[in-house]
Parts: sequence; C-alpha cells; structure tokens
Amino acid sequence: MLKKIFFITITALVGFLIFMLFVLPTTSDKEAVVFSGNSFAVKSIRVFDGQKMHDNYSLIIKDGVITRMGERVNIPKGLQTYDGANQTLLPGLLDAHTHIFGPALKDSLVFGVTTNFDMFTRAQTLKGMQLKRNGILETTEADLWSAGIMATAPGGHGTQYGFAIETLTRPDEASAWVARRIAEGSDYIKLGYMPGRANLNSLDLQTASSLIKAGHEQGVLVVAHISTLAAAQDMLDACIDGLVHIFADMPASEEFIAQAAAANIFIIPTLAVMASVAGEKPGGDLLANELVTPYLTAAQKQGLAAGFGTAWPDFNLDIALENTQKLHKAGVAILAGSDAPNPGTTHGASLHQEMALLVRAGLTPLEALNAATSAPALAFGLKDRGRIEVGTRADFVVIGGNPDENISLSFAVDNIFKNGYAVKRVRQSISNTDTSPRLANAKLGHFDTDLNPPEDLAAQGFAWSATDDKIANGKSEAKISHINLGADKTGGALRVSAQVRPGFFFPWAGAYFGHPAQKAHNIEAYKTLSFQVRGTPGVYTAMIFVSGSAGAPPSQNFNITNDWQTIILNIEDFRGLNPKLFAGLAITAGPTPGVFDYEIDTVTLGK
Amino acid sequence: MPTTGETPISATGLTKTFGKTIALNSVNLVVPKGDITAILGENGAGKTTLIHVCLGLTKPTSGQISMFGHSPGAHPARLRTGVMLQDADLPDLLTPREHITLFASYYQDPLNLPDVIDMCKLAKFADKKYKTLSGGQKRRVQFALAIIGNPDLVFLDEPTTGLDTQTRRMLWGVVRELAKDGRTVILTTHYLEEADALADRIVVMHGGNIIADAPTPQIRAVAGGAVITCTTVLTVAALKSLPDVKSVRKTGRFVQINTQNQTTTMKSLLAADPQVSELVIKKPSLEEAFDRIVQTPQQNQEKA
Amino acid sequence: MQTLSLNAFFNECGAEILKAVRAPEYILPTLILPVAFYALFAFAMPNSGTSGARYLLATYGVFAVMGPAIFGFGVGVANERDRGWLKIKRASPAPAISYIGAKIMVTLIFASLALIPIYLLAGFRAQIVLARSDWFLLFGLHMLSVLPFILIGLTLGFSFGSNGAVAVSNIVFLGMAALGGLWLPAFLFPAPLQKFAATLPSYQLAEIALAIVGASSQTGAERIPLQNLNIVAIMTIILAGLAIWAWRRQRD
Repeated sequence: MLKKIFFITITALVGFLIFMLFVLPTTSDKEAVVFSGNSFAVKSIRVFDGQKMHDNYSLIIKDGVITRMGERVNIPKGLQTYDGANQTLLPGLLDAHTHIFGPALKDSLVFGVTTNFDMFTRAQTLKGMQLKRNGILETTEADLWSAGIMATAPGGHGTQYGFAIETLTRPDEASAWVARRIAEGSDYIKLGYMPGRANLNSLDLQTASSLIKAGHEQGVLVVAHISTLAAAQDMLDACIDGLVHIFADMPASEEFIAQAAAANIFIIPTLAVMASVAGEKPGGDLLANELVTPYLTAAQKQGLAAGFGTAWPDFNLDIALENTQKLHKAGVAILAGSDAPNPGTTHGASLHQEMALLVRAGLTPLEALNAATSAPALAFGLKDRGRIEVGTRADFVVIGGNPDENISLSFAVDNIFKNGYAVKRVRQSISNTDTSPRLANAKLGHFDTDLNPPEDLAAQGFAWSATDDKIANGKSEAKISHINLGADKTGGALRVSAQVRPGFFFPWAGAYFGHPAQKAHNIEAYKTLSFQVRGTPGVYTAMIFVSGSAGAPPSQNFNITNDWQTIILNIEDFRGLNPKLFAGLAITAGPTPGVFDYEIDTVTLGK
Repeated sequence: MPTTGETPISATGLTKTFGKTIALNSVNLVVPKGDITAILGENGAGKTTLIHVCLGLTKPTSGQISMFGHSPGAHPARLRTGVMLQDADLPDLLTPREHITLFASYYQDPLNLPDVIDMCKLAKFADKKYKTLSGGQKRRVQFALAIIGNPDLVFLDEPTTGLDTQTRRMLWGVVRELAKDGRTVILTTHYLEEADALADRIVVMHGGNIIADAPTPQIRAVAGGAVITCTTVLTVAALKSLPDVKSVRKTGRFVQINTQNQTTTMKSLLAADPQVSELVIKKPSLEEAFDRIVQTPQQNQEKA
Repeated sequence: MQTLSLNAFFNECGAEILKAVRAPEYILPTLILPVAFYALFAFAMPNSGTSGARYLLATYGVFAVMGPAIFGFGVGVANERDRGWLKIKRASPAPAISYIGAKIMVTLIFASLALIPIYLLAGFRAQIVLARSDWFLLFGLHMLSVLPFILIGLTLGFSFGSNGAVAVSNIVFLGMAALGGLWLPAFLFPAPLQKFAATLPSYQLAEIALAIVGASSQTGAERIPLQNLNIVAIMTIILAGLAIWAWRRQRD
C-alpha cells in the first residue's frame, strides 16, 4: 500500500519531468544560432563597419559592447564563438522614418532593424524608451527615438489617425509647443508643411519657421514633412535640419541642391512608400519574397497588401528617384527610412526594400548600407550604434552573403544580435489565424423589427451602431434609427442621418456593424457583400475592419439613388483584407461633404 | 544469522552515570529464552535506563552486555527485538494500518497484518489518523508495532500506564500468548499486581541497583502478606509464635506484625487476645516490600 | 538483507509522501512561494524582459529547492525526534539509511514539484531558450542543490525542539535566500554584504546555475562554475560534519 503510493508518485513525476525537459524550448532547431548571455566572439566574418567592408575580421563582445576587433584578435579560450565564414556582419539597421504603433518595434527587430526614428506617434509611446535604449538588456524590441506628436494645423496632415493631438496656428505658440514636446520626451521636432493643398490645412510658413527657431533654441533638431520643391525650398530657407520625404512634383533645381548641400541638411527620401503611392505595389514584392514572408505577422501582411488607391496630384516616382540621386551626388546626406506602416510598407522588411530602392536611385550598395547605418546615427548624433567599432553596442545583423555585390541579399538575414543577445527570429505559423471563429450568420441585418443583428451574431457580440470621423477628430456626424418600412415593403430598415463635414482627410459618417472588442472572425467562406439601399444620391463608401489593425481599412465606393437597389461588392476587391480577421464593416456617406439620409436593408454575405 | 538458542540478554557490571547521578550501578542480568521477566521499581529506579542500554539507545558507562550474542543496537539484534517505549509517540498523520505496514517491512518474517489488527483489537480505528485516537488506542497501536515483527524478544516499557482495565487485560492476554510460543518478554512496571499476574520472574530495581531477582512466587513471599498494627497484652515472643508471622516490631505501645497470611494470623491473634485494640491491617506498599527485600538480601539473591 | 532494506525504503518513501500530502499547510507554501515570487519578479516587474527571467530562473530554482530541504528536515526531524519517534526507529530494525533516504527522496519529489512551474513559466512564458543538454544540466544542478540544505536542515532538526526548529528554519531559509542573492542579484548588494553572500551555499549554487543559463556577469568578472562547485563541495563536507556532530550530541 505504502510502496504503491511511492511507485505511482515517482513514476508519474519522473515521467513528467523527462517530458518537460524534452519540450522546453531549445536552440537545437538551428533556426538561429542562439548564444547564451551577451558576451561572445565572432571570427572570420566580413564586416561592414558603417563605411567600408573588411574581410576576415574577428570581434570580441563583452556584456553587449564590442571590446576588440580587427584581423588579428586572440579569442580567449572558452569564450563562445560565432563562426562567420561566408557571412557579412552589418551594424544593426536604423530606420530613419517610421511610425510606431502596436508591435512595430518587435516587427522591426525581426528584420535586423535595431533602432527606429519615429516621425509621429502618440506621446505615451515615448514612455520608458530612453531607459530602454540606454540600457543593455536582452530585449525583443528595437530601440526608439521619436518626434512624439507632429506639429500641424487643425485639420492638417497628422490629424487623421484617430487620436487627439495638440495643433497650432500662430507663430507665438511655437516655443511653448516645442517645450511641451520636449517635456513629453520628444527627441526632435517634426512639422508638417504642405501649403496650398485642397481639403487639407497646413501650418503657415511663419509658424513653421518659428517652430524651427524654437527647436534650435531649445536644443533639438527640427525636421519637416514636405511634398513639393517649393515647400522644401521654404523649409531650407527657414534653416530646417532635415526633410523626412523627397519631393516628387518636379526635379530639384540647381540652386536648391547647392543650398541643401551647403546647409548640411539630411533627406530621408522614403522611396518605399513613394513606390507604393505610385502603384508599384512594393508590398507585393515583399509578400512574394521567400526570405521575408515566413517572418511576417498577419497584420503586417495585410498592411503590405494594401495600397493608396487614388493617384496623387503632382507626384512622379521617377522624379523622386532622380532628386534623390542628384542630392546624393551633391553630397547631401541620404538616410534610409521606410515610412512604415503606410499602405504597402511594414516595419523591418521595408527598410531592406528602401535600401534596394536607393540603389535603384543611383547609390552604390555600400552607400545604401551606409544610409541605413552610420548616416542616420551621425545625423541624429548617436555615438553608440550605426557603426562597428570598439565601444559601440553589439547590435548586429548577420547576412548570409555579401550585400555589397547585390543589395537584395540583405534580406537573407541569418542572425540578429541586439545588445549582444541573440534575437530569436520567430517564424509566424500560418495557422494562428485559423483559430478565429466563423461568423455565425451570413445575414448581418434584416431590421424587420429592430436594429439588432440575428441572435447568433448578437451572441458573438456583434451589433449595429453609428460611426463617424469624430473618433479621428473629424467633424462629421451620424445617427441611426429603425424605420418600419423596408425594401420591397417587408419588415423594417436601418435609417442613417449623416452630415459629412470637412475637417478630416477622408471624412465619413454612417452605420457600423461590428464587434466591440475587435475580435477576429472568419469570413473566408464568403465571396460577396450585398445590401439594399436608397437615399440621398451620391458616392458612398463601404469599409471592412479587421482585428488588430490601426491603419486605414480596405474600402470600396458605390452610388446610391432615391430608389431601392441592391449593391453587391466582391470581398476580394477590398484590397489587403485578411478574411480570417473580420471584425466589422461600415456603410458610410463620404468622403464628399454634404447631408445624407439613407436607408439600409438586408445586409448579407454571399458565397 | 544468530540462532534462537542464544541468550537474549546477558549483562555483567553494567554501570551508567549521567553526571553525578548513577542510573545503573554495576547491574548483572541474564535473561534466558522464553521467560516473561518483569522489572519492578519506582520512577527513577533505573528501569528505563536499563532497557535503553539493552536496546542500544544509550551506551553504558562501563560493563558488558550482549543481546543474542551481538552488541546492543546491532542490526541482527534489532531484527529479533520488538519494543514499546514509554515516552515515544508516532507520527500523527499516518493511520495505524500504515504504521504497522511500515514497521512490518523492517522485519524478515513479520506477523500477518490482519492477525495483529485482530489481536490488538485495532479494527475499529485501523484507518483513522493516529492523532485522532484516544490515549488507550494509541498505546494499543504502539503495542502492535512491538509485536508485528514476530520478534524473539519484546521490550514493553510501562506498557499499561494510564490504560483502562479492559485494554490492560487484552494486553496481558497477548503477552501470555507470546510467551507460550517461546518468546522472551521484558516488561517494566511499577504495579506489583501486573508483575505478579504476568511474570515468571521479577527483577526489583532501586536506585540503580537490582535489589531482588527471583521467580515470582519467591518475590511474592517476601513482598506479599500484610502488616497488622495493634495494642495487645501479648509479648513479642508470643506474637512471633503465631502462624505465618514473619516478624514483629514493637514501637511504643503499638506492635507491628508482619504476616504472610493475614487471615490465619488474625484468627490466632484474636483467639489469643480477645482484648486486642486499635487494630489496623495494611497491605504493604511497594516501598515497604523493597524495604523488606533490602532487609533480607541473602534470602532473595539466589538467581543473581 | 538487500531486498529487506529496499522494501523498507520504498515503504518509508510512501509513508513520507502520505505525511507530507496530509499536511498541505506545511508543504503548499514551500511549493507556491517560489513560483509566485518568480512570476512577480520575472514578469510583473516593468523592464524585466527575457534576460531578467533567465537570471531569475537560475536563482529561483535554487530558492525553490531550499524550502522542502530545510523545512522537511529541520522541522520534520525535530518534530519526530521530539515525540520520541526517532527513538522507536532506532530501537527497531528500521535501517537508518532508509529513513534518511526516504526523507531525501521526498525532498527531491517536492523540490521537483516546486521547480516544474518555474521551468514551465521560464520556457513557455518568458521564451527562455537553452540547449537541451543545458536544460538537463540546470535541472540536475537544482536537484543536487538540495544536498547542502538537507544537511543544514538535519543539523537544525537535531539541535532544536520542534517549535525552535520552525523559527530557526525560517530565519535560515529566508536569510540564505535573501543574502545569497536569490531574490535580488547579489551584485546589487553593498560590498561587505557581497563578501558575506559568497560564504553561503545558496550564492555559490546560484552562481553555477547562472553560468549554465549563461546570464551575463554584471560585475565584469568571468564566472568560473568549477570553482563554485569546489566551494560547494567543501561547504557540503563541512555541513555533513556539522550534521553528524549534531546527531551524536542529541543521541546520548
């Protein structure tokens, strides 16, 4: 009896222990060489030090910092050593233009981008970033420098992202505005200067100039978002430190180039996002790249599949490439920046693409690598990174091959080290989105007696509500109600009273069917979205929202008349939509301003 | 392996001192196989120390002792020994059945578990946690542990202290059974009746010495009888001649008559002196028994 | 003879398991406390990250096995000695080795039960990655770590009554954990305390564990685990001598 108790206990326990020790995560799967700790040696590797290539170098890293390097370095016995034969070690990459939302810093590090220069995000994102980037701890995230919120006018570029920001209109507000940003932790000031654009307000030149002056007085760099040569010239005259885009409206003038070179400014061309605007679908190239896709999350894939949709005025990608090349030739510092997560771009992977686009613009591969490593470190005054030399931190990307020969080899990331710790690159299993439940019912709303969706959908948490751009600081307004007379005189319908007013990039107001917690549901089984509608004639917009995405939702336009008609939209035409992650849809008036009254009935997903 | 024919206990000149206290003073003791020996004595007489020395729990200061031909505490000796100690308690959280099972595993040829449970009348509480048992029930479990190993030699240190009569009877019965099968039992007690009822032989200890060691009837002869105190006109000589009188002492106007059989002595006394008065008849206390044993040492030392 | 001792040992193990399981108020805190602390310090604290979780896996593993060893032996032995149970054992043919052996076995069982949730958290929550052989090595080291603490427990159990043993065991347990750098890294201590920490087996064992998980040495000094192992071996011999002395002293 006592013996039995012992034998059962010991057998169960030992069995479990062995099982546990065999399932605990290990390094043996060779996905990445994982070193323990952050002290180690690297031998026989090609090193790009930020400027030049060195063959057959060795390095010693102690507690996350390079302590020795060169062709002849004695590696102490017993020190764990990374053999870098046929590989190239680059400084951890610096992305000079990103926007940090959600898991951006994690996504960056997976592709060897160890430092991000954010050009506009929520102020609370800045919390703790200084402590983290100054420390040398193991981490799964890239380090962050940030502008915090950008300087813009009410209704200007930057106000459309769904959170309130402090805008300004007068030069005398500039100094206090800059001081408040610095107090929030901003490392530099970014302002938006886009005068003369319809539908979009901008800071005037006096206010922008005052901001530059205030920034300099308070000891920080000031950079500007511009889209035209004229605006760039204004900023240059106002002593800007850097431009965060290249202009693509007309070729740069000789005077501008000479003045920019003399003023020692830097330019972040952001060619990846420009290529996306130009409809080149750079995101599609990344999605087709076998070195890239295994490491992309579902949300990243959606962002890469998305596009800008409409053609922009005064925009030509070839001019952007040409301007970049000319300015570079003249000696203006060119920094690689992706502007992720704009449609068609994503954190991390898009910076590699940006380097390839810089080569396309006329830089050599080494110059492109420089633009993503030591050039941004120099421009922003960072001494501990961007270069491989004794005393810098051990932020490395190890490439299988020589990107000097072909810049696209930079995608072949073998290993990443951050603060001397090996970063585990996690392959995204495709199945993790398969777990989302199916949408319970294809009939999203019939409105026969009230506005509630069918019971099984209500049980999943879905409901109909009003939606408008107020959540993005817009001025539009929507109200919804139930009416008793529906299409074909059956049951009732949902009535929307919408006032679409300018005040936001893409104003909207309408009806929303969605899940309050944005929980993902699977609608793969359906091919179409159809509904009956009538009301104030005009162009309307249907949008589908997915779980976990903060970007602009995939959308389609349609026309309404005074008579009931059935609208059928193909789901695959909602570009970039991941049907496994459906969280809601909206049928809205907008973006054209006006007063709209319309009625919706029988909203259905079809096979 | 020692054979059962060897002498269970053989000790000469055992002395144990704790500081200045002499717990055992040159004790000689041989216990042959198959006896029930009672060690009788008051608290502090040295009984428990003697048993501890026999079990190897205490090392003697000097003297020799062998248990079945082994030194005390040697594993072969312990294999043939079962014990019930006076001030030792068992872990609270096991049941009697678990305790006995565990103990059985120490021995080569233990008794059957159900038999022991039956013998010691444990069935009613065999599966209750030890801490929930009453004092008497706990002693029964401890007794079961002493016998489960089917030992050749069983030590019972004050086994019946604090027990109700029923349990005491049960225990006595089992002890008699054990002895019938040729086992040797050593029990300590300060109840004369217990020694009287069970033992073949009684060893009386006092102040670390064995002051008497004899078959039970002999000890009974010395310690038995009664003391009659009275005033009488009869002379000491006349009193001594009365039947069964062992001794007479005169103190003041009283006489004390030690008798082996109070009934016969009283009849003759009343016949010889009907005027006898202030009469008190007392059973001798253990102390008085010792006194008497001490007074007549030669007579009782035949076995030593 | 051999089979008899083995049989007694197995029964003794079963009895020890029952005793422990039937007194959950004693055993549960020693099982739950380490993993609760680990969860708190490795995950709930800001900026803890994987390196923190890795560091603490090494030290809290040692902490986890200390409880069952010190309390199981210190309080357990003192209690059974107090009530005279050990006297009966010694008089009976119970092999001493099977009694101590069973207590060690049960200590190992409960030590591993305390370790399991910490390892699971470390591996699957903190995503700590070690070579398979290092997982085994670390676990082996953590299990071996019970030895010096068992000897400490035995010394306490032989030296104090059951009430005294509870109090002293607590002091020793908490002192060894805190001053040995198991809760907070020893390199954060002031210099004199750091020197004192090096005299504790908890510190030396933690250093070996830290070398196995490859936690960075914050003081800049290289870890030489073999040296720590030698020190632990010497400490263990001294503690064994102490335990034997305490045992002899209480016996007579």
